[in-house]
Amino acid sequence: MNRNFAAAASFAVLIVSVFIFSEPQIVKHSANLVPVEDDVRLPEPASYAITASPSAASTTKGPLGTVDTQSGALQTAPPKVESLVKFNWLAKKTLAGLPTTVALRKLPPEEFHETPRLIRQAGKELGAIAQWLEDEPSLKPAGALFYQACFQREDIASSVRALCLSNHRALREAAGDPEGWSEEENKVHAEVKRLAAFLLRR
Amino acid sequence: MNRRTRAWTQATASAVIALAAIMGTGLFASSALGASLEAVRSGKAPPLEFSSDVPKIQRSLLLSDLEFFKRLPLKTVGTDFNKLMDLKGPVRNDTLLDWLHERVRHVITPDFKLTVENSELIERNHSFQNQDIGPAKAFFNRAQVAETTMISRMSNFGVAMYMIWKKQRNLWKFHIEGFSEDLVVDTPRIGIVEIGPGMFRPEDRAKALSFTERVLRLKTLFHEARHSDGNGATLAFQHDFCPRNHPYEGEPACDYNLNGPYAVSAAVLKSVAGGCFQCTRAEKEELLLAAADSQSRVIEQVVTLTESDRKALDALEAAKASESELAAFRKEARARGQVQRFGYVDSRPEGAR
Repeated sequence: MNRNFAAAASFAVLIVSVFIFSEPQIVKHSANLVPVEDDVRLPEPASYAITASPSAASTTKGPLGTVDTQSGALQTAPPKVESLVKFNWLAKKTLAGLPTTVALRKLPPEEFHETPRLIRQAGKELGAIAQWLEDEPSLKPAGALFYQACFQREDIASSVRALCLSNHRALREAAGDPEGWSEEENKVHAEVKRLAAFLLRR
Repeated sequence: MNRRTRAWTQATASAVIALAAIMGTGLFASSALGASLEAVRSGKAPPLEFSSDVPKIQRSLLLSDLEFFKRLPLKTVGTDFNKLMDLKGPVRNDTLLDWLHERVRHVITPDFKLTVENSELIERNHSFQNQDIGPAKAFFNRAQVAETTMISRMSNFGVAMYMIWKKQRNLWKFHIEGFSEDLVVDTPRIGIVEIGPGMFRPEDRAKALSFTERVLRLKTLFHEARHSDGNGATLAFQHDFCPRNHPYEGEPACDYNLNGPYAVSAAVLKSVAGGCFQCTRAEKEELLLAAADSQSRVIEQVVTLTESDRKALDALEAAKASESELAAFRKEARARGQVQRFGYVDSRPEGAR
């Protein structure tokens, strides 16, 4: 009797755990299918032009795609239009919702000692972006644009900008770009670079 | 690893952990052994003792978190753990857990109150080590005030009692129901942490077994453990007020050294995020942002502006100058200011046995 009860209890725990841990996977990406109207803009894709047919003459291959060594443009297999539209929508929505320094300063006292909920929420949202880029590598050029827009926004909290900056640099270097800070990356505040450098030391 | 496989791997792992937690609690609950490092290492004693009013679910979660940490792949490259946490030997899960156990051994709830029944004055006018040296007085008082308004996830009760009684020159011991022995408060390493209301919020119950929640709880334990260290001016590694222009400006949420509780938190989070091959990219990202937040509270240097630059900056801010104007002026002013850099501070604990 007791043994049966123990077995049933173990099975119940297993089922509950499966439910808990499967849930984020099920909802992933599904909440972001509705267009949003806002004035958040991603930067123009100057150095991350997506090209369907790379020229064979002067290119190097990297994990992000093929890089034109003359123009510096990234050439990669084009993402599906639907994916790109959805990703860009999520990117804009995420960018609009990232915590600002002003918002952090308005937090109640109990939030300061530990990682504030605003930062944790931002971590989840940036996590969704990073996960999507890992699942669909063809979106990495669009992801790089998102990260650039994020680290360049001076009103966003420095820790968030630092994560964006470190991801931007990692994507760029994985694509075959020279190691170290690029000109754009180098312009950010020293504190953001300090934190990004901490994250990149791995 | 594709998304479905990853989900199933996590689901199975979480089920195993959940069962281990339930079984583990039962085993530990029946144990009444002391909690020396050797006993914990050999599995004869639980790594944490709980006061009798700590809810069973909270005990099982914390104990299973420590079990979880044992199997967690870590990537410690890029962080000098030996320098940061005074580790003498190799940096592994077990050595990090030993480090934790030396600093955190007992858990109480916020309901615990010192009374004549549970405390005993052993010696008046006791001379503690570094009796007349402590953290800066002004800071100590402000920190005490700030502490009363905080709803933290966890706080280091043992070191708080040590500091108060050291100041009063009184040596006390207390008996807490559920602990295997009476505790003499003669060192900041007394190792009692208090679970705060933020640690197990009812709204977080559904995800309490998730990878990120577990790691964030462990991070809190490591963070509080660091408060059990320090001597004289560095006693308890108390937080200080964040500098001007910091996101937490004016709050007691920064460390002006490279080996304080926030540096420990950041290093633990980053090494877990870097080493985890079973977790999702999303989970890693969440931990990395928490690591960056902790590291942002590690103040490596401050620049004190000249009096005239300070006044000029105040005037510019009052006149609502543009961000670019302010940034340009700050840059120039910083170049003229006095730079103060912070490094690793003495972490040896007072009166450690």
